[in-house]
Amino acid sequence: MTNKDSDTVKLHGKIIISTDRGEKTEIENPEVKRVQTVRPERKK
Amino acid sequence: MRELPFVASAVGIGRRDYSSAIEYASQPTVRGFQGRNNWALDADNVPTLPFGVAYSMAIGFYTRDGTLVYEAPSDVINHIYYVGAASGRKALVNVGLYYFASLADYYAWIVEGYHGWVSGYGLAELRYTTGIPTLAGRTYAIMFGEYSLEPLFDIRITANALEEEVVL
Repeated sequence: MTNKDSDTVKLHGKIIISTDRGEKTEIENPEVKRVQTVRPERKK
Repeated sequence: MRELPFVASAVGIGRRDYSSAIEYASQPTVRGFQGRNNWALDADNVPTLPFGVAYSMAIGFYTRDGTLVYEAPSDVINHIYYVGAASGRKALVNVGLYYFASLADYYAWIVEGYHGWVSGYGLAELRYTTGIPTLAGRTYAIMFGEYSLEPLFDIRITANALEEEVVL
């Protein structure tokens, strides 16, 4: 697949990435990719 | 630990019994921290996609000094053991865990491989008993989607990994 098959979408929500070590990152309205879910070809 | 000599005395006939005098002691050695890395995505009113199309979210990792990176760090291995996606209703939900050789490959959508792709109704979960260890330099992404006749859906994604510090 190539980048022609994907684009980005802004979601209404947030991502929280946190650890037991105390790190915490909140990303408001994160961007995600919209992609084809056909079985991926392995990279040659 | 100093080894104590022991003597297995000969009793009767046959092989000597060495088991009677064996003492075994072990002490754990602390090599580095082991903690947990948690990802949570809460998103509402996400446009429903046609079947065969999904959303993809690259997951971030923390290095030993706490920097958030999108290529798996070399000083902390994340053993990903759970990825779950839940929507608020009984509709088909898909979730997958994919990996890419680098972040540039993720942006260009050159998939290197995947660890799983699973479907469920209302909830789809990937569970790995011993965890999938991240390989330094790779980018990992969670793919998800809900498929129904409704135009919008809400999604809650949770993923967890055990962090293991690499002793250099």
